[in-house]
Amino acid sequence: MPFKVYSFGSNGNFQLGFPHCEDLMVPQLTLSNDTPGVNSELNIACNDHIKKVVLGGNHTVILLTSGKILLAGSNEMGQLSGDVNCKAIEKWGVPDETWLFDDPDEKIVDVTCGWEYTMVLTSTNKVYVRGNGPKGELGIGPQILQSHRFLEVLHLEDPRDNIKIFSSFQNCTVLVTNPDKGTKVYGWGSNTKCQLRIPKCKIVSIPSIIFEKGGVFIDYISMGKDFMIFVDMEGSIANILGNIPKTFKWEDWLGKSNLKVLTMWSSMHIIERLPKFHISSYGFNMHKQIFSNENIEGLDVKNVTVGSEHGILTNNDGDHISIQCWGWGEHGNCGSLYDDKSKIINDRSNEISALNKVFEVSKDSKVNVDIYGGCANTWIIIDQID
Amino acid sequence: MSTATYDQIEIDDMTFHPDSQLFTYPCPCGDRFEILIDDMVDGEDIAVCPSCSLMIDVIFEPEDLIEYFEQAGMKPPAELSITA
Repeated sequence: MPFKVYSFGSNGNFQLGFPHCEDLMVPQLTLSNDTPGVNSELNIACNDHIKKVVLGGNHTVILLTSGKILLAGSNEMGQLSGDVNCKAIEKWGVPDETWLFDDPDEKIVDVTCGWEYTMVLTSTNKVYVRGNGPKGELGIGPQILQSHRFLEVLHLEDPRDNIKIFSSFQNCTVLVTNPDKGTKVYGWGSNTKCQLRIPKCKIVSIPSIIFEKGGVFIDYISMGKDFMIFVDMEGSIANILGNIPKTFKWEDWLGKSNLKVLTMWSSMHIIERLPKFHISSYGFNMHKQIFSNENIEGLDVKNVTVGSEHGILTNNDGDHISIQCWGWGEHGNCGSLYDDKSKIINDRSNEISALNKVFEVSKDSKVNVDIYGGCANTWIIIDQID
Repeated sequence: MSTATYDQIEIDDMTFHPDSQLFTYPCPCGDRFEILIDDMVDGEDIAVCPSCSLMIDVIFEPEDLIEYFEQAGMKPPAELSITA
């Protein structure tokens, strides 16, 4: 389906996909499969669309529903390309041969990024990591801490296993649910805040079982900088690990379901839809990352996501869907405050942002709007439904 | 924690670069906080990000620095050994 991808915010290593590294404070079209002259060299099929945008410290990976992958940003540590002379992919590129596997039928089905590494899950239930792993992020032991090609970390061989991968900053997790066995979670990377296990240690360099429980089915793991929250299929908080924000009390949330949990680096945000939309935030608030629910009055919020220290939401706004940002916006990632949107280069005029409308999409045509947040950058996906 | 800093980070969590003699730690903007080991000897404990306004407090004892001077192939300043 025709799609458009807009990006803005921190761009020091070309991670926004433009052939420059200026920070931007107004969303700019970075990728499209239906705009003449934009990305025609990438040969994106007109019926393809965006499955996922994943954002590392300075690199970006986009997975399309066809399985096609697009790359931009830093390759300082081999997180994107096998070319040791390539320090950054300075405009959208496609994977090189280091993204292929010996078995030609083995395809990448999911991808995540951490600070300087990239992790993938393949159709044969194998997990691979590449890039830099000084805190054990590569997951293959203490000897190899950097790689310009994928290294096999795990192979889950039970065909009934359902596998999901998650990562943040300096930690990786692999969530395995099985109708017979319940949930098993592997984790590795930094453990200085007991985000993997007790007692603390500097590095866990191979996959370690950090959670295992029969009859429990975890849906996803929301990972902050040094803490993580396990949310089950009912939308209840089933486990927490690491340096959880001090104001959060798990007992306040026991028995509650239908929650959506999001994590910035230093804060967590619990979204409830009933009896009315509400975000309960815990953690750092120096840059107004804690959501102010007074902002909700009059809004019809559809979706919420977060970046490293800012939040993004989509709102049904009459004839339009609006995209609004809040929190730490020093890199332009919470948008411009000027009426004149022709000034696109960030001038740091919106450092601490109240909820700020950054973009509008007309509802004239049937569109699906998706949002992603990275390290001080913001991404908007507009997907034509028909 | 100073009210002006973003976070407190222990020296063990930072990365030491022997060539530049800098300690670094990732900043949520994508760049890195940095502080020179010599400035830490002089009592500085704030690492700054060259790309934004954020800063972190580095948590360390002066004697913690000795092993990093050794990593860089340098003799630790005498005052660190006395402190230790």
